[in-house]
Amino acid sequence: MLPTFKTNLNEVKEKITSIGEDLVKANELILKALNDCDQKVFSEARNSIKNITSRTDEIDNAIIKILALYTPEAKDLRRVVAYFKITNEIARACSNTRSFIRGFTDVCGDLDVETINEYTLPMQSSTVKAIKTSITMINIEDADELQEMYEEVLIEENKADDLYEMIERKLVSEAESCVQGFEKYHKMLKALRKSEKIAGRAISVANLLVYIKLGGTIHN
Amino acid sequence: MLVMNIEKFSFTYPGAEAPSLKNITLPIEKNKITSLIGPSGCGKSTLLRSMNRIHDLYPGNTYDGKINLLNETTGEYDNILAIKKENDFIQLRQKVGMIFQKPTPFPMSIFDNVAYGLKIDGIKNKSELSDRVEAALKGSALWNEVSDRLGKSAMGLSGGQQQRLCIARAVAVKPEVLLFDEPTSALDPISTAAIEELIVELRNDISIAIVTHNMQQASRISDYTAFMYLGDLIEFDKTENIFLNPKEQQTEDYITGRFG
Repeated sequence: MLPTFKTNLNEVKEKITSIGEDLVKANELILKALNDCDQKVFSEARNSIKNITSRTDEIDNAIIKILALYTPEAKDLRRVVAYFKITNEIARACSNTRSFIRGFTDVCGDLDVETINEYTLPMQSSTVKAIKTSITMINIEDADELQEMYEEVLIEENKADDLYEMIERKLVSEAESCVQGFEKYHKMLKALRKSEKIAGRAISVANLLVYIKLGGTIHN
Repeated sequence: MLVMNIEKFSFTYPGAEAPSLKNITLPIEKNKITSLIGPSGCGKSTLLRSMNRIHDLYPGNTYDGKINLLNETTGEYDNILAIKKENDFIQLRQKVGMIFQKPTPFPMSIFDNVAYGLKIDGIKNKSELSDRVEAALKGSALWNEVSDRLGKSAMGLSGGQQQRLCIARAVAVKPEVLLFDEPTSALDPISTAAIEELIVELRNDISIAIVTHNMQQASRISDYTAFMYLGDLIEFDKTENIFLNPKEQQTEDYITGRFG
């Protein structure tokens, strides 16, 4: 492998890891803020994923340059293509995170947060674990370890999925008994769905990282 | 900073009616790799060979314009087209070395191949010779493979090793510029990769110009790329611009395989 190719590829990996870590940080802060709908901590979370578009643009352009200049093949090609898609997944997870913060903070003062948090806290906790593990996977080279971590992400994503279903059921029944507040419940549900989506993106990232190592075909 | 600056350069082979190179202006950056690409007969090898006046091994060529080479001592530029004396030609070719498509080891030992240029340069001291040969072979990533058989004939090396030996021979005299004329077209992919890595490493000490038909090679290793067609320089730019956003339609058509 040419040293220049290696350097360029490592730079892309570092940049993706850096955005991924900021995404993890934002979601950890959300978890902290959920308890008492702490606006200050929510705003801190929002700030940690600022200017994501310009950072992902930078990565995308670096990847296009790598493809144009080095015409990678086999594992190298899988890596470059996977990085391209991972960047997109992380960018969308950041967007989901922002929507979550916006939606949750809009209505949390008007609803019984304690009841909602019964499921939201464990769901967000699973989301954080899922995204944190998948970002850690970016720098793991051992195939067995990757596979193990992939399973962990899958479990957390399933947990987030199940917990979301429980919240959904609970909020729908509460909304039915409170017709005037229906819109607020709906808004809250829409926000919480984003957390579940973030966990979904974590599994996509993990999937792509396994694809780099093991090959095969890409499954979205 | 430029190590070489080609200005309005034209070249005509003896007996030819029209020039093979027309009004070429091309900067060669110091410690960078500049690739010359283009279809066969476009003049890229002619231009490369003009850079150390190797055409003048045969008389009757016509030059026009300037090829200015940086004089490291004075910091000024000397026009190499003004050279007339044999000794000056030898000095020029020590400063501007050349590696050809087919490896050209001399029929002598590995050690003597690398020491050849140094001896011509007046180095007689055995330990100095030995140190310089070792350094050149290490710099050409060949030392580990040949250190135990320096006295053996260079003709027994593989094609890739012979090419690296030729690079070591050129590097030994500490040139300022190295010219590569399709250095890997006769080599297998493994040897090609080794030579490419070596060229990228050499860039830290030497400025490089390379003619290649392999566009992936140009894009992989070079910092700047010049596209030539029918004796004209069509486009010159940073390699990433040439391969991502070429300004000229002809360049785009060539690198995307639409002609040539």
